[in-house]
Amino acid sequence: MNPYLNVSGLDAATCAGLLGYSPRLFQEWAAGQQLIPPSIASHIASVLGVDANDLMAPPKQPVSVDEIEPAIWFKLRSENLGPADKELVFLVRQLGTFYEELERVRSQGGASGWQLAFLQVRQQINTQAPPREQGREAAQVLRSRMGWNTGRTGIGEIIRGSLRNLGILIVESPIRASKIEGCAFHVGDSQRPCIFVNNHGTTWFRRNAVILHELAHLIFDLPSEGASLDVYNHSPENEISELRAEAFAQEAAAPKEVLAHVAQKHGISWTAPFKVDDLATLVADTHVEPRLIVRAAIESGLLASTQKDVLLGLQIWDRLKQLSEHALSTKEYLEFVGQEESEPWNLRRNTTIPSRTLRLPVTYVKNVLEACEEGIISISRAARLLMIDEHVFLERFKMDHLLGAE
Amino acid sequence: MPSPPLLFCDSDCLIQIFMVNQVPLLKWLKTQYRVQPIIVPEIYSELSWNGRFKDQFDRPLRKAVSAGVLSIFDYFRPEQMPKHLSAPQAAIMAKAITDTGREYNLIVDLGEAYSHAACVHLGAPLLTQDTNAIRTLLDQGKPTAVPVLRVFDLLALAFRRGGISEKACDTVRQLLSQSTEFLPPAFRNASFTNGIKTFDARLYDESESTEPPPPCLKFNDPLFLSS
Repeated sequence: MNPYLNVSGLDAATCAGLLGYSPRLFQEWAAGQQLIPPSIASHIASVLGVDANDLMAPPKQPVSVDEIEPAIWFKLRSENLGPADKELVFLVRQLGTFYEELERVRSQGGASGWQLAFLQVRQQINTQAPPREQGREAAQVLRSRMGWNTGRTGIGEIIRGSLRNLGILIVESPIRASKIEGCAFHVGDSQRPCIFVNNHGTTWFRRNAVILHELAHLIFDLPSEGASLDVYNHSPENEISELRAEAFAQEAAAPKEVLAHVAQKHGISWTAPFKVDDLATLVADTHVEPRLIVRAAIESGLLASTQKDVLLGLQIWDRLKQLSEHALSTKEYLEFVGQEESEPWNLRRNTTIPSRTLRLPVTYVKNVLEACEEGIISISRAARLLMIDEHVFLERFKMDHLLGAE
Repeated sequence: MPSPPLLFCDSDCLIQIFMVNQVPLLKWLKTQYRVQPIIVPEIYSELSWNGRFKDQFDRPLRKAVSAGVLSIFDYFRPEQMPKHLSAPQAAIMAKAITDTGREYNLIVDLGEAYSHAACVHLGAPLLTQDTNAIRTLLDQGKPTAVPVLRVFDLLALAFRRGGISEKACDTVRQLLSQSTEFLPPAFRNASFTNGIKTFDARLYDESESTEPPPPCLKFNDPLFLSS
């Protein structure tokens, strides 16, 4: 087996199945019996995070895995994650690569403002400060730079758009079998940063915090570590990077001024006994989950720590659904917006080519379809980017009119 | 005008040829006109495993390659370039095809990107029915293969030159129609015999023209082969 193909810990047949190549041919490439074409080597290499030239001309001598294993696979191995997680990372990295390629043709190269933004944040914080303080400082710098501090309200509805404007790819997709909640890595020739959030069984409010948490990893940790992985219900308290990322997410989403402003706007007193309606309103307006609000309010001195359990015991969900459409389940949302309008997006986002199905983000599917309708990419390319067969593409999205006259 | 030495083939056309067991058509072309049907490795990969047909065509593909009916053009290896090129020219050509293929692959799929790239740099024709890909490339100012041929161009030429019977041609048409495969408009609702009367064929024997064949400048210009 080509050692560079082996680093993911997945066998050739699994890799072939996930990427949509012939298992026979993939095995022959892996065994060095056939030359891998540069285009295919480049695709596999971008998913694995290795150099395409190494795939095409692997060394004759045995190579230690430690010497060539990319950071993302090292992390997967060291976290003892299973095959499902490895397959997820494999597919997500492929999606990230496709996303990056699509952005390149759509925006003539894609935005690269993230480099300057990250540099400015790193330069303006005191790296000798405690990790949580570093995270808070960085969040304040970024909030100011991105204009997130205007209005003193929740930023959940704007973070995705403004991070994408910086050139950061954000992919939210449900992966039932995986323990991974979020990860961050670089994709493509331009090493564009990509944030993945597993949205299976989680809420939009939680995901906002996960995106910001991964953003902190992108700013601080990826330059040295190359990748980050976060697993459900597992936040190591003795790791600088995790403490910093957690504080960053909290301060970016729910700084004291936002909590105070939202409470004041709705006449909520931090010292009076909290009611369901109060907490639901805070969640709806700050766009983050109750746990984060409570922690932030206690740390900023707005709330007594004795109130923590009382607040977290409040059953706010029914009320929250009345206050924010973000609290609705997919089914409830479909009913809310009208089945007719949303039906195509709910059912037509699943991939069919990879051996493991991935549900693609709505924005990504829309961007691919738009690019195809505008003649920026061909039908077959659009199908490839959506990881479905061309016939499925034409049938699923009713794109026959693009075939045009012969 | 001599026949082009190579005819590059896209997956969609080869799938149709495998589907209707018409690999002999490629062999006939090679024997009759010394035109070698050839594919880039990306097409080989797409045919070995296809999202719709899985590995259905892997066996006939390998058989066609081992019999020499189909060749594989490893464009990234300078030693595979046409013999009349010097070593430095071959290296430049290999790089040019690789770079163009990479650029095209951002807007069209892998196989057709590298097939068009090879045809553009080698001046070779391409057997493909993906007009959407051609239009997408042209709309973005990218040159495509010239000319572009379809399976029915090959079939019609072979029929007119006695390489295949009318009955066999009609069977091909019926099988492709039943499989909801692409058919040129002239054959969609007509038998082969009736369809060929209105078919805008793009492939001819040079003896079928009374005038010197015009040069191919556009993708849908006709190509004249000399036997």
